Amino acid sequence: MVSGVAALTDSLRAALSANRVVVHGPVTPADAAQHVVGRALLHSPGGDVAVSPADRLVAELGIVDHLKAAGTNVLLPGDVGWRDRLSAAGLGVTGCWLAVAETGSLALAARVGSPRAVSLLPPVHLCLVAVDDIVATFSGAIARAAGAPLPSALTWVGGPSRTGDLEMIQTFGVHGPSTVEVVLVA
Amino acid sequence: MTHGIVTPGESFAERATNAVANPDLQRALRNLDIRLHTARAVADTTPEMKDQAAELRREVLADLDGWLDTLEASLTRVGATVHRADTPADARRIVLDLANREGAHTIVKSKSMATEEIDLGAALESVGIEVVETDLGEYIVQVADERPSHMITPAIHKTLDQIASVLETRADGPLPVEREALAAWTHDHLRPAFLRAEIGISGVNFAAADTGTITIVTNEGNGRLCTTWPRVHIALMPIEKVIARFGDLATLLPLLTRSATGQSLSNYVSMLTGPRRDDESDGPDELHVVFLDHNRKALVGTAYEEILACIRCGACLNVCPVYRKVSGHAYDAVYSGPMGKILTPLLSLGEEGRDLPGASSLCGACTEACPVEIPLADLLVRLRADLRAPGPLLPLPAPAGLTSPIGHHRLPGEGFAWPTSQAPLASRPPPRSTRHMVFGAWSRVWSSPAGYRASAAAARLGGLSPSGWARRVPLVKGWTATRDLPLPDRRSFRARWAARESGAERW
Ligand code: SF4
Repeated sequence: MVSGVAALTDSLRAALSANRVVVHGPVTPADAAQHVVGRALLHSPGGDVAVSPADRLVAELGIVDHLKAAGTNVLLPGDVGWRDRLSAAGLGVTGCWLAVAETGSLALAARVGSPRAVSLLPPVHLCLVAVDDIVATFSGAIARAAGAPLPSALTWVGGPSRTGDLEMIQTFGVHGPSTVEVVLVA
Repeated sequence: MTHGIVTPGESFAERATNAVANPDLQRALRNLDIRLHTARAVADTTPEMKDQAAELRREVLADLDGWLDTLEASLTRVGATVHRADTPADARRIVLDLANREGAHTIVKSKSMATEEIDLGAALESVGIEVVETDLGEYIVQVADERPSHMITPAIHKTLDQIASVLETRADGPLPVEREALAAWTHDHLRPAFLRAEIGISGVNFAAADTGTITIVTNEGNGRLCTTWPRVHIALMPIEKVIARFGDLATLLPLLTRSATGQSLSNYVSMLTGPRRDDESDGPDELHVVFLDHNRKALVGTAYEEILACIRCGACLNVCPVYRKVSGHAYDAVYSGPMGKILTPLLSLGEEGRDLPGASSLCGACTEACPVEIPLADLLVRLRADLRAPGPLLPLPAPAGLTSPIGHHRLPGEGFAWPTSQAPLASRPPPRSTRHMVFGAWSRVWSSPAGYRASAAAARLGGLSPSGWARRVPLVKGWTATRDLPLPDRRSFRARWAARESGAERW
């Protein structure tokens, strides 16, 4: 089993890349927000950027304020027309509860301010991952989850939406995001 | 059955013959080779992992009623509503009542074999509700008015150009025969259905009794959409899907996804504990979980109980030499392949699929592949014997009458239990009839390579066509009508191997 933050980060990066996730960083907390702004301008120019404001890194790094300062239309849960606008947003930005190095999975916990659909409806999902939140194995992650009250939805995302239904050849971008990017934050 | 007939035939034998003669189907089935790697991925999982998973499944089956009560209490505690359905008709009525109450116009469905089992789609459509299958493979077979031919990859029987022409019937213009483009079209075409549906229906992969958490795995994200956006989520759960503890997912889930697709974890795993909570922005307002029995409880405590350990990974289909050649539709049943041959007659208590257990070479590949160590080949042999008597399959035999050790009771290191399953045959008095004597002589001749070659050569000399010659052996037509033995190659296996090893011939 891999241990140590650097080794865990490396193996998470390898597993995510194998899952077709674009991995950035690790960047410093100070640089992370600018990085997110850059990706937002690229993926949703002039469009809505949906954000899960209650996710820890999103809140701590002041992502919403940075995005607003850069002139993007930030779409927050509770905004008028949130449901209708979400499907048209170009990008969804979330944090994650933890990430699993072994499987390259991002564990997202639904709660107030962290809806399920921000990582699901927009065509691009950008996920902030604190390197301290990387666990080595899926069984380790399940043990952690079992030790706390479970959220209404605990979702494990491996990468972009895919199907094997077309002659069993992996094809990307069916119902969920066709692009998933991760920003590792040191 | 309301679906179009894909592989026609009155019996399995007829349908299988037609399937083998269908060149498009045979071309599509070659894609199954990809899944052979998944069989290897299962083999790579440690025996300890399989043993542990097998134990966990048996632990639940040993007290199925008790675990279901615990699950119901947990689900209720987290705000879900539990419905119990004894029969497929009960389950359909429960869902129809909910749909009625909601005034539902559109229902989106995530892939679920259980909904196929109770033919739910047709029931909903018959009252004018639009039902949209959202798994791409399921959508393809829905549009084609067919039935899934594989529990993990429902449209495995179709080639890409066939898929494009099926989808084209729902498109405004021609669709390119190109995978990424077809996936993108599906995204755009089905997204509005997710947004307008009042109800999402899913199956359940695992339901944890201690926490009331239901787990659903998909790769496309349709399972997430069905359980996130509509106001009501209905999960149809065959009762054996209950697991004791949330923590058991650490063992069972990776084993399922590895055996199913070779992935260390599926792309999307949703662990749902109750409906949306106060002030959450999405997730269903209501979560209904329908426990489906459909004669499963009748299997508990019988020799066939083990089939309820199945986690629907499809590995036994992928490795089965019969399935790989004839595909799912030849079984004319919801569940196909080795597990389907067992489950279909059992769930219908002998009314359906009586000829299915015979559709096996008893090679034991399914038993080897099964990640939860179900002795599939043993169960097939047993079921053949029990179905010999006409009429319903009741009462089911108790495990005490078993002649072979089953499942995790096998001795360590012991593989497929051939000797035990053959024991009762060997202990019978020697055969007397002409038929038996012919078989005896035949088997003696064919037991030796020289004898086999000699008889094949004789067949050639006799002007028989190379294919189908064994069918013409007199006196044993019942046996040979559906079986054939290919003529041996002119060269020995060792000569051909050497030619390929040296590169003189292609593999
Ligand atoms: S019987 Fe075993 S191999 Fe076949 S689908 Fe079920 S769990 Fe998988």
